[in-house]
Amino acid sequence: MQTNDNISNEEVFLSLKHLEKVYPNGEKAVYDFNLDIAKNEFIVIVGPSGCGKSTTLRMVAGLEDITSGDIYLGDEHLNYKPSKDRHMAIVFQSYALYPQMTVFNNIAFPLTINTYPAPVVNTVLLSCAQAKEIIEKCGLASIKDAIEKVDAQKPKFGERAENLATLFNVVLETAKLILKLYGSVSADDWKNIADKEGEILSDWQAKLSDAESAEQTKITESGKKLDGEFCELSEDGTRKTVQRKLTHYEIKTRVYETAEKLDLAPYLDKLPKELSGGQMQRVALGRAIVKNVPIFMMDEPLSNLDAKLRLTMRSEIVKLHNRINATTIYVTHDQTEAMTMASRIVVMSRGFIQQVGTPEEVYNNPANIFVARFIGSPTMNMFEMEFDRNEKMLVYGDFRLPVENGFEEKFDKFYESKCAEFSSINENFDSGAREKILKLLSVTGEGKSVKNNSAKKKNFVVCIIEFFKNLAAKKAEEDPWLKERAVAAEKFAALKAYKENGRKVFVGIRPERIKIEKAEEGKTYKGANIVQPELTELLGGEYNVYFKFCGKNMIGKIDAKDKLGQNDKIAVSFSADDLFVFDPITGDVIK
Amino acid sequence: MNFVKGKRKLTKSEKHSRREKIVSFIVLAIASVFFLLPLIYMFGNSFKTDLDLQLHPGSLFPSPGEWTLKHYEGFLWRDGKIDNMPIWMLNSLWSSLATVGITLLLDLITAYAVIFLKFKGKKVFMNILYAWMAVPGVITLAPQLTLFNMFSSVIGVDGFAGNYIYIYLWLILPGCTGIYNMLLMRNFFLSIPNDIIDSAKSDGAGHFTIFRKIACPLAKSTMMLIVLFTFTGAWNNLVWPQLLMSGKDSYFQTVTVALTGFTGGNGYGAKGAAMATGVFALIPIFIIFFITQNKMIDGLASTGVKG
Amino acid sequence: MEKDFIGIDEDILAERKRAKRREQGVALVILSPFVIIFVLFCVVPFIMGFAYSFMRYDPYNSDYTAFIGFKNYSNLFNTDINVSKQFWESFGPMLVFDLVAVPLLMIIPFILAYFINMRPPCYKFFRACIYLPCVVSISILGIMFGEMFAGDETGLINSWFGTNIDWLGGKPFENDILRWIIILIATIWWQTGANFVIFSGALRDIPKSLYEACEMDGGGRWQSVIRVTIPNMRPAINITLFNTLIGFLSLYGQPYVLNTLENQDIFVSPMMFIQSYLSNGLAYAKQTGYLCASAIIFGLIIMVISFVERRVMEERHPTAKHVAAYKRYCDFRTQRLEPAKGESK
Repeated sequence: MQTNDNISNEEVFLSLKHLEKVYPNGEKAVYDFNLDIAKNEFIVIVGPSGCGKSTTLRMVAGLEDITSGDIYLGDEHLNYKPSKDRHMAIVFQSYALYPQMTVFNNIAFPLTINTYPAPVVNTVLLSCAQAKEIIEKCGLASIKDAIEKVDAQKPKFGERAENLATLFNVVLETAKLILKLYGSVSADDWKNIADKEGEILSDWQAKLSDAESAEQTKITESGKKLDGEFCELSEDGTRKTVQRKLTHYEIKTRVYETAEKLDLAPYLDKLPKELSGGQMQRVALGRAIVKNVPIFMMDEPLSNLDAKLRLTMRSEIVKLHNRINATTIYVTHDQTEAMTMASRIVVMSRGFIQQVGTPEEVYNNPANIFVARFIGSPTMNMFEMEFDRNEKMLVYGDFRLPVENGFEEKFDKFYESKCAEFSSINENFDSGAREKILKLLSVTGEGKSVKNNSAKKKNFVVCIIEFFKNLAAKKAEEDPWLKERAVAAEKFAALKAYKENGRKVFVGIRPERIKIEKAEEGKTYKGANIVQPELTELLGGEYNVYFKFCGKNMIGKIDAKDKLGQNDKIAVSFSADDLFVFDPITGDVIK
Repeated sequence: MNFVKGKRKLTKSEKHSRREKIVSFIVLAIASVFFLLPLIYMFGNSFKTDLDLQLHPGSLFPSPGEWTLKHYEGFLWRDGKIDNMPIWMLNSLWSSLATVGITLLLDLITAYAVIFLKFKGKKVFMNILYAWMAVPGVITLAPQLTLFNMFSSVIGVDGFAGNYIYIYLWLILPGCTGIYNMLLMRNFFLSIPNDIIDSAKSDGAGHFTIFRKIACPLAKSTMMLIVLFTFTGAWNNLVWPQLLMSGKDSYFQTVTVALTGFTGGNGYGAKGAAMATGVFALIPIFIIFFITQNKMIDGLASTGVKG
Repeated sequence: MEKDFIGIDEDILAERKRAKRREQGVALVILSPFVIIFVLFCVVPFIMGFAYSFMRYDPYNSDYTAFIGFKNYSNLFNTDINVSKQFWESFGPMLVFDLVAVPLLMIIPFILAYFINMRPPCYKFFRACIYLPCVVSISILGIMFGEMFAGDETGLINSWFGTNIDWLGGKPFENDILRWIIILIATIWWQTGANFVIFSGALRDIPKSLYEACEMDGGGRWQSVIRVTIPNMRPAINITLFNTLIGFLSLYGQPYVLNTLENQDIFVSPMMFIQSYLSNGLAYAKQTGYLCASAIIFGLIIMVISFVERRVMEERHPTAKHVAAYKRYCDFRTQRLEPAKGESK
C-alpha cells in the first residue's frame, strides 16, 4: 500500500500519477505507479530484477514512452516533453561516457550543445562599472602587477583575459576592458608610474565615463530599462532572460567547479578507457551535476563496482546529494543501498509498488510478506504456526508464541474485509480486479510463468505460418484472463474457509530480534524454547546461529562474548511486538 | 492480447520511430531497386530473341510470348566461342573448389601449429606474414609470370594435358597463400580458451586428436567464412588467370577471363549470347549466396568489428 | 649419487629435451606445406622481381641477360620514352578517380548502414540486395554495364532516354568524363555491399546507453551521429578506408571491361599498363626487367600512400592541456586580489 500521507500538497515537487507502461507486445511492465516527491528527497526504488524499477525511471527521464499516467514537475506537464527539456540528469549503470572525449569534454558536453537561460546584461555598462571599482579598490600599481603576473604564465589565446578575470573576480568583458586600458599606455609611461599615475588614472576615468555615457544615451533612445545590475527588464519589471549558449569561459569555470567537487581535477585530460571504475563513475556523476538541474536519476550506478568501492561511493553519492541540494531518484536491486541511502524507499515487484515509506517504516512495518522478506539482511525468518483461539497463542507442536493484545479481533476483521473484497472481485471481474489479482501474485511470488525465451529465427515462411495461426486463434475467442479468474476464485474460497475456521498463519521475525541466550544446564528459561543449534558462524563480534524452529530453518544472532560451543543449547524467545503475522492466502500483514 | 492502446497523443519518440521506419524503408527500397536493376536487366534480356533485342532495347523483359532459350542452347550446340562455356564453367568450378580445399587445409594446420605448438621461429614466421600483407601484389606479378614461363621450359611441359595441369597448378597454389584467411583462422584459434586444451591434454590426447576432435569442430563458422571468401575470390579473380592464360588455347580459360571477351566493346553484336553467358556464369555463386546468405553477411560484419 | 640429489632428475630433463625437439620437428613438418608454397610462389618471385629490375632480361633468350644496374629505373623516369610517358600518364586518371570514388564508397555504405540499423520491415531482404553485387565477377559487371550503357541505340539507358550518347568512349582528360561516371556508378554498385556490411555490423554494436546519454544531454540527431555513431565506428572506418584505398590504387578491372574498342591501348591506370604488357607475352619479353622496375615503383608508391594513410588515421591522444589550465586557474583564484586596504587612486 502506498503512503503518500507524509507529504503535504505544498511540498510536492515531482508528481508521478498513475504511471503505466505496456510494451508493444502486450506485456505490462509497470502498474499504476503513484508517487509524490518533495524537494531534496532521496528516493530509492528497490526490487528484484525485472520488477519495473528501471522502466519507471526511464519513463520519468523520457527514454521510454509513457503508456498512461502523468508526470508533473511543479505545474509543468512533462509527458510529451523530450528528455532534455525535463530538467533532469541521469547516471547510467554503464556510465555511458563518450569514449573519444577527455574527462573535461565529457563533463563539458551538456554545456556546449545546449542553450541556457541567462539574464540580458548590458556588458558595456557592467564592465565599465566593475573596472571603475577595481581601479578604485586596487590602485594602478597592483593592476599592473596583476597583469604582469598573468603574462608571466605565458597564456594562450584568450586565456589572458580569462585568467585576469579570475584574478579580479570580475566578468570577462571587464578584464578585456582593463587589458585594453593597460595597452593604451606606453611602456615608458609604465616605467615612470610614480609620476604618471595621476595622468593615467584620469585618462582612464575619462575613457570609461565616455563609454558609459555613450551607452546610456543608446539605452535611453531604445527605451530599454535596466535594473541595478545592468540587466534588462521586461514590461512587468522582471528580468528578461534569453536562451543562449554558454561562453567558453563560463563552461570552463563550471567544469572546474564540478571536477573539484568530485576530485576529478587530476584526470581532466584522460580518456575514459584510462580510468578506473570508480573514476568513470564520478565522471558520469560530474556530467550530471554540471547541468545544475533539480532532479537527478541514477540507474544502478554502483552495480559495476567492486564491493569495497561500492561502500565508499555509496556515502559519496549521499554526501553529494546533500551538498548540491538535489532531488534524487535512485534505482537499485540491493536493499542495503536502499536502507542506507534513502529518505524514502519504494519497494517494487513485478510492476507493482509494494510499499512506500521511510527506511524505518519499511523495516519495522512491512506491508506484506514480500517487503518483509526483501528488506533486511539476513532475510527475515519465516515459519508457519497456527493461531489457537482457545489458548490465544500461536501454536506449533510444542512451541508456543505469544500474540499481542487484541490480535483476535484484528484477525477476524482482516478476514471479514478480505472476504468482502474478494467477493466483489469475483462478481465483477474487470481489468481492475484482474490487476488486483496480479498484485496479489506479485506479493506471494506465485504464478510466475517461465518466459519462452527461444528466439525463433523468423524467416519469411515462419512469418506467414504465424500470421495464419493468429488469424485462427482470433476466431476462437479464448479468454485471456482465464488464469487470473481461476486464482481469484481459488483465493476467495480459501478466504471464506478461513473466515470460518482459519488457523494457519505465516509468522516472521527478524534475526536481530530473536532473543537468544546460551542455555545452561539446570536453569529454566520461562517462556523460551530450548533448541539445539545446527550450525554457528563466528562473524567476529557476533555469531550467526542456525537452528530449526517449527520445522523451518532459522537464523538468529548472539553476541560473540557468550562463547557458544559445539554442543551448547540455546534458549530462544520472541516478544510479541517483534513478530509479524502474515496471511498465507494474500500475503498481507495482519494488523 | 487484451491491452487497450489508450487514445492518447503519440509521444515524440513514437512519432520519431515511425517516421524513421518509413524513411528508411523508402530509401532502402530505392537502393535495392538500384542494386537489382542491372541483374534483372541481364536476366531478362538473356531470354530475348535477337530481333527483340534490336527493336526493344529498353525493356527489361522480352515482349510477351517472345521468350527464347536460344542463347542458352548456344553454349552447348553451336560452334565457335560459345561452345566452350561448359568447359569454362568446369574449369572455374574445379579450380575454385581446389583452391578452397587446399587453403582450408593449409590454414587449419598452419594456424594450429602456430598457436598450439611451441617451436623456435614462431615470432619470425608471424612477422614475415604480417610484413607480407603490406606488400602490394603487383610487385610479384611480372616475376611470377617469368618463373612460370621459365619452369615450363625447364620442366618441359608439353601436350594439352600437361599444359593444362601446369597452368592450373600455377593458378591454384598461389591462391592458397592468402594471408587474411590465415590470420582469420589464427585469431579464431587464439580465442579458444586454454582450459579446454589443457583438460584434453590431461585426458591424454595428443596434438592430432585435439586438432581433429576439438579445434576443427569449433572452427566450423570460421571455416565457412574462409570457404565463402576463398571461393568467391578464386571464381572472380581476373588479373592472375588472365596473365596465365594469355596467348593460350581458350579451352584453358576460367569463366571470368573468358567473359571479358564480351566486354570492352569486343562483344558487339553478340548481345544475347553475352547476356545468357553472364546469367549462366552467375548461377554457382548465386546458389552459394542464397544458401549461406545471412551467415555470410553476419560473418563479414563481425570481421569489421574486431578490427 | 647424483641421481639421488634432490631437485633435479637428469632423466626427466633429458626426456623433456627430447619432447621439445620432437615438438619442434612436428611443427616443422606441419608448417612445411604452407612455407614451401609461400616461398616458392611468393617470396622467390618477390626477390627475383628486384633482381630482374636491375637486369636486362629475356626469359626466352638467355643470351640477352645482362646486369645493367639502374638503367631500367632511369628509363622509367625518362618521360621522353613513349612507354614511360604512358606509365606516368596512367597514374593521372586513376588518382582522380580514387579521389572521387573512395569518399563515395565510404559515405554511401555508411548512409545505407545507418538506415538498415533502423530495422525497417524486410530489412534482411534489403541487406541481401545491397550485398549481392559483391559476389558478381568483374567481367559480368562489364557485360551488364557495358550493355546498359552501350554507345548506340541498343543500350538500355540510351533507349530509355532516347539519347545516343557514346558513354564509354573518349580520351582521358579530354572527353571521357562520361566513361568515368559510368565506371564510378558501376564501382559503387559493385563494392558498396562490402563496406556496407562492415559498417552495419559496427553500428549494431554501439551501446544504446550512449545514445540515451546524448539524448539526455540535449543532443539531437545530428549530434548523436557525430558524437556517438562515428567515433564508435573507428575500427570499422579504419579497415574499410584502408581496404578501399589500397584496392582502388590497383584499379584494373573496371576500366578494362568498361571500355570501347578504340581505347584498348590507352591505359588509364598503372595496373592496366603492367597487365597489358605482361599479357602480351613474347612481344614484350625483352622488357621484363623494365616491367619489373615499373611494378616495383608502382608498388612503392602504393606502400607510401598506405603508410601515410595509416599515420593520418592513427588515434592521437589528446594533449594534456586541461590539467595545466586548471592549475593556472586555481593559482589565480587563490591569489584573488583583495580590495587593497586604503589604497589611494
